[in-house]
Amino acid sequence: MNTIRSTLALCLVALFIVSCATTQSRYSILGNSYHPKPEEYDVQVFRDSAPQRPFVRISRLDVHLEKTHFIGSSLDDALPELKKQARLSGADAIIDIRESFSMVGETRIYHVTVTGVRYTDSQ
Amino acid sequence: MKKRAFVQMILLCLASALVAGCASTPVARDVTPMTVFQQPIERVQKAAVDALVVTGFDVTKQEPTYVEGFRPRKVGLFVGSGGETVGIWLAEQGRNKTGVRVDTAKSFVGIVGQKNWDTEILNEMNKSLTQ
Repeated sequence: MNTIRSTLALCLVALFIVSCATTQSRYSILGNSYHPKPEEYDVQVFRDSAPQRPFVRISRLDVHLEKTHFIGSSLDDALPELKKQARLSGADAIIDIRESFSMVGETRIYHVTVTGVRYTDSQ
Repeated sequence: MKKRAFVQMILLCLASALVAGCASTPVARDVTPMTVFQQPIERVQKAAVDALVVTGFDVTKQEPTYVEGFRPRKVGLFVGSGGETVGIWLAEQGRNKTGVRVDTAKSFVGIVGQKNWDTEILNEMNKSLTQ
């Protein structure tokens, strides 16, 4: 009987842990493609401004977060994934941050689209 | 007896996992009016893919005249979400003119937490194409 209870509990826990939140992300190249940046590269984030250095827009980055149990998400939650996608696309920084929030039932949805840029004075 | 109950429990878990993984198929209905964008089909197809990404769909098919996506399922306290499949059909209607039909198919499991995404997707495509 204990085995049955344990199995049932395991199934329920697995179901809840695995599927109460999802993270989707991707990048798409806008023009020329570039080599990815190394994993430790620190991508700069420009929330309300643009870099002072000359740059070119190279990628569109999307991160989509959904959580059930009425738990919301914010830009801070998405930043690690945004920076990862930026590095993969070869971007030095991200600009043009566009956020959207919505809800389906008890699922809170957060989506952010940004533009990856590459400095032209460092090439 | 114990062993039998244990096997039944395992089978139940497996069946739930399988059923939860099932998805329905969207259908291009002729009765649905076509939305026309004054843009070449390649651009509209890209906007369709972007719209699916923005609305939380995993893009599962990406062809020149058809795009399909599936929303991953989430388990909630009362009602979860996800499990919808969306199909977007594209038809070239002349130079720089593309007709679009969108259909959301809801699956049997978790239908309470599912919604029709047709309007959101068309709005996102429109936003993307007018930028």
